[in-house]
Amino acid sequence: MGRIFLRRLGWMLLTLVLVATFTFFLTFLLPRDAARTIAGDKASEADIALVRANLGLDDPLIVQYGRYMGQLTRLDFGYSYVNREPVSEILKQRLPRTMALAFVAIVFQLVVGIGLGLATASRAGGVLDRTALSGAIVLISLPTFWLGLILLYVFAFRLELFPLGGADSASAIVLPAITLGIAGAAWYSRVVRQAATETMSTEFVQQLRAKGLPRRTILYKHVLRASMGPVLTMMAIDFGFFLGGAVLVESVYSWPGLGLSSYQAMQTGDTPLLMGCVLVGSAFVLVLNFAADLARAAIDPRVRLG
Amino acid sequence: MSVTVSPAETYSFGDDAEKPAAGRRVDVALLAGGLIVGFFLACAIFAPWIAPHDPDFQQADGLDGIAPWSPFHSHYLLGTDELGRDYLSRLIYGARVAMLIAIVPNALVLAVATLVGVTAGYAGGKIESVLMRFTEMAMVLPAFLLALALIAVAGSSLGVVVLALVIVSWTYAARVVYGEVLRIREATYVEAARALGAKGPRIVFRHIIPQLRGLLITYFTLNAAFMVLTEAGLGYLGFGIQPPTPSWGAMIGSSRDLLFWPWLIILPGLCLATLGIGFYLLGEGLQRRIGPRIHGARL
Amino acid sequence: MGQDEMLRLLAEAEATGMSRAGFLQRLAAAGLAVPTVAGLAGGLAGPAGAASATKTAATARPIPGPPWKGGKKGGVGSVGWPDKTVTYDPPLAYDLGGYYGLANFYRGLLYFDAKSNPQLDLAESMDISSDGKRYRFKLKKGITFHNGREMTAKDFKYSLERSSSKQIGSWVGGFLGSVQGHAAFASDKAKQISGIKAVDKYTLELRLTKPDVTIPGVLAIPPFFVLPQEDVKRLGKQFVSNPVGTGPYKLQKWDKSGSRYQAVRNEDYVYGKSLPYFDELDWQWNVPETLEYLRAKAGKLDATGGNLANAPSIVAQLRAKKDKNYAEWGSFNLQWFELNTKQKPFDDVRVRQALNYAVNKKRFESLLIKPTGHFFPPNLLGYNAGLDTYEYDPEKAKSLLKAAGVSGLDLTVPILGGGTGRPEQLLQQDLKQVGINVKLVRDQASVYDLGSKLAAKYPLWFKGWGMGLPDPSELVASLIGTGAPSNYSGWGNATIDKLGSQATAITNRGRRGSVYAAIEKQLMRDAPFIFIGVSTWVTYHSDRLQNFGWEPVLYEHWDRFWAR
Repeated sequence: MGRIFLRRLGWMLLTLVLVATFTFFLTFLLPRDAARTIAGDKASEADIALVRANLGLDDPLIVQYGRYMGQLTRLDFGYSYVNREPVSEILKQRLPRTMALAFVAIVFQLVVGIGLGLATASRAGGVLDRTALSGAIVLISLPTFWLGLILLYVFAFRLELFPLGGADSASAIVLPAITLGIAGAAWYSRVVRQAATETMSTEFVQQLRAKGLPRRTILYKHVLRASMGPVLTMMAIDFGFFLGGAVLVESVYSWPGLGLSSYQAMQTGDTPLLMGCVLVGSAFVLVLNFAADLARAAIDPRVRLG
Repeated sequence: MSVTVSPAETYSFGDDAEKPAAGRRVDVALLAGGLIVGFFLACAIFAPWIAPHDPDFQQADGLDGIAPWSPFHSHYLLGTDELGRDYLSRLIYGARVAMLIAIVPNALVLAVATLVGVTAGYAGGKIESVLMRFTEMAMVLPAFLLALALIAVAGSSLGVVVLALVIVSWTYAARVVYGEVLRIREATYVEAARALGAKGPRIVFRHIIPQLRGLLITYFTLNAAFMVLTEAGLGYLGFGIQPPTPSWGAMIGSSRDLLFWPWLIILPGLCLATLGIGFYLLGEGLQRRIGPRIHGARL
Repeated sequence: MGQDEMLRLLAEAEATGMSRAGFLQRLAAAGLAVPTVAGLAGGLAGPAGAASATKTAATARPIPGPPWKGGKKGGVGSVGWPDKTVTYDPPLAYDLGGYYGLANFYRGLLYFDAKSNPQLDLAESMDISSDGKRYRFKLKKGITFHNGREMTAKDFKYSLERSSSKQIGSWVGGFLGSVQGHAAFASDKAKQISGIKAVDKYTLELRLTKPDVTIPGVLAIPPFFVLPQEDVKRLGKQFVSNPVGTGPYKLQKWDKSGSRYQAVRNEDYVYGKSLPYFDELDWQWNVPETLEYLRAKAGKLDATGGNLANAPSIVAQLRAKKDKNYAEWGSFNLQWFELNTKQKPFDDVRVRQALNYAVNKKRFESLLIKPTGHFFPPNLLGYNAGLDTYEYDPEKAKSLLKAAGVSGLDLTVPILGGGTGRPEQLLQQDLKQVGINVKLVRDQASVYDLGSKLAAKYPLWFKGWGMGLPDPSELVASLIGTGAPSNYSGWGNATIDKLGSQATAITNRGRRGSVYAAIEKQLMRDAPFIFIGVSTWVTYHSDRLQNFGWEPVLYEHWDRFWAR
């Protein structure tokens, strides 16, 4: 077990190094010049050249790369001149926001998805089932950012039940989390329903029924457990999506997380911040993936952990 | 890294319970999906004939003061946008971008995915290991962000946007193809062909790839929705196809601060959602018709 | 009584461009006591020619700035800003919430009134020598920084030098260029600016190399407000978020993750008996304009900080409802298209003029831009409402193009820096009517990012400029002078340059105005730009907020608003 863990850890680190390298060279090509942004609109060419020299932006690419990687080993993500504070400070503020959003979205997905999936499985073919099917199809096909805008418009703008974006109050997380998670919830409900229906028709379960065990127990103990496998597999794929979805959802709601940060960093040419966001985001995804795999292995012993 | 996909799992959770009952010839999903997609395809092809106005022209009477016309309040049926352009025409022409995105980058993604998936699945050993590790590493990258960065660097011409879309989605397709190839590989006739002395490439082209046809067609349909929605997301942030060419996502994005004129946001979103539903239904129908079930694909 | 009369005469003097000597005579004729130089400097930008330095005498001085009387103290005032604020260091603050919040924490020698004229603030008096090369300021005594220490002339020397230093690298680095020793200091050859002298504890002197009437205006902008040296040194990099000055408010809490700051009244403020009214200020960042409006409407915010023109659907509603809490203001934010005059066919003035005739500026109203067709904003010195601008005349445009031998032109125009693309699309359609095909491309870099590289890439681009100093000399020095740092058009005009450098020495306001008017006239003829106008600034405030106002230099003056 320990060896597998170490090997996995090794792969994760290697992945992060590759991510850092790839992103570094890509962001290096971004057209926005941080020196200009810092010096301001009215600065002269000479002033800008001075700022560039101060930031070490004139050094050869390899030197800058080496310097950056070296800093990373000390967990120093550099200094954001555009925001005038260390990148790690900004990340410290932003990461928890995105994590909170992702967490609430995942809980929402699981609760609604599994709940609805089980409910519709036990009443297969009924009204709830058919409505849920249509609903799921619609929700999976919607563009997330559009859904976000609609929810914002209806529930925050017109009905004023939630704040219009931002993260100032506890209720501000509701709409963005729903937006981020609802397509997943729809998807999971279908997957769970399918797994549940299949499991319920197996001999093993039939025998349990014959023995007189209440439906509830069967449902929760056996069916649920069998359904978790595919759900966890999908969740692992989902985390990657979350980061991308986060950019859009955070953009719509002005939610101050990593996604919005990355987008703004790109627009202002704030390379250190962009790198920091990408790296931390990727690490976040890797860790969540690993956790999902562990959970899956715990549930289903057939599974091998690479 | 995620769990190695065991072949047994590539098949699963097909909605067998939803197969058309014996005797029912018409698959509702296939029909509905086909009609929807067909409708938008027709809009795209026949746009110049069906659109009432030039979608890019800022009409002289297109604005009421500084405000656009809302739907059903003027001779512009679905109203106008903030520059006074007829919205119905823009929506119709928006189908062109949508269809283009549904087809071109989609085909490219499948080409790349087939290349990677078949090579890995068939070659096995080190090559398989390296390729799939690479794919999984690529999956960790925040693909959407990198697509944005790519467009920021290389400009938002059509070619770059297509490339960005391919980058965002090839990994998922590759995994699905790979899973399917694993399943096919085990099939007896491949063993038989090998035993009879057929060489590698021959097996690949004559036996494996034809078997993938069903999967590719179905995945193409389902992925079309994803492509369109992703481009819409890029367009929303201002990174997609450039104005004045109408693209539904960009139309939503540029109306983000115009909440008091909600039709500007609602209508293009309805188009996107409807087209998405159409592709999904079509894909579901195709999965039942020509199979196989696609698993492990979050679309 | 006398005060009102004087103010009336002052207004009249301003409007007619009267000289100071003339004004003094009028006052004497009206039987009013001759006020000190201090009281006068507020009313007229720059002294009149012949008057020599007069003796100072302490009198009750008006509080400089927009009108403030009649409020009651108490309560918390709250504002929302669309972006986040990065720094409160005066020479470095640049963003919306940052720059326009500086006046809450800091003050300086002078302060702008609602008409964009500098008035005495922390300086008790300002004497200008007859040759215009020496400015002597007597500081008010007993003014303390937020840290308790009394402000002295040495502090001003420190602050002015710091803002001009290469190390700080501020956008105002060159604004004191006419002060002796500035050049040596700016190029690191000297450790201080020799022309700035702290003569004694309360006397500051500026010696110039040549007369420069913009000096009072320069000293009235926040980057030149006074800082306590010891706190700047002690806080180092932290100073950007820990402002210490002499302003009406002190920072109480800066909550970065919550994106807001809270400020409390400075009880030792120089005008503390009257101002500020609010006990506390609550500034919230990252509040998009739409949200600012909704919160203000619900009374959760007292006013919008951002420009509601960025949410035009709200403005349309407010106009339709004739909401009394909303207002539209003329800004000093110029909007125009700059042309690459080195690229054919824009090197031909006829083509450039043709473009001006081809564009229907009125259509830009939907973008909440006031289409004056001028370059100077209305209310700026030198703005001549009677100036001949380019009317919309596509036929004339076509004939000019034909005369210049241009037919079937194809242009690639950028949408820069995440802009909406709307001005460019308006332009595209108008140019199409005269046979010019425009293709639009998006470039993530902004106008100022690309700077001089613009001319290598594009034939023309949309440009905006928010004036920092409300004086036309800024436009010449930055935008239209030959080789000016933000002039990317490759065009220059020697006449304009000459007039511009002369104008900084003309003390008579009226005469100075006509020189700048002549500059704009020449600019209009040369047409290196497609002239559009200025952007409109739209505000909304809550029902309870009183005395709200917005002016184009420092925007909102929160020390003089109060709540009902």
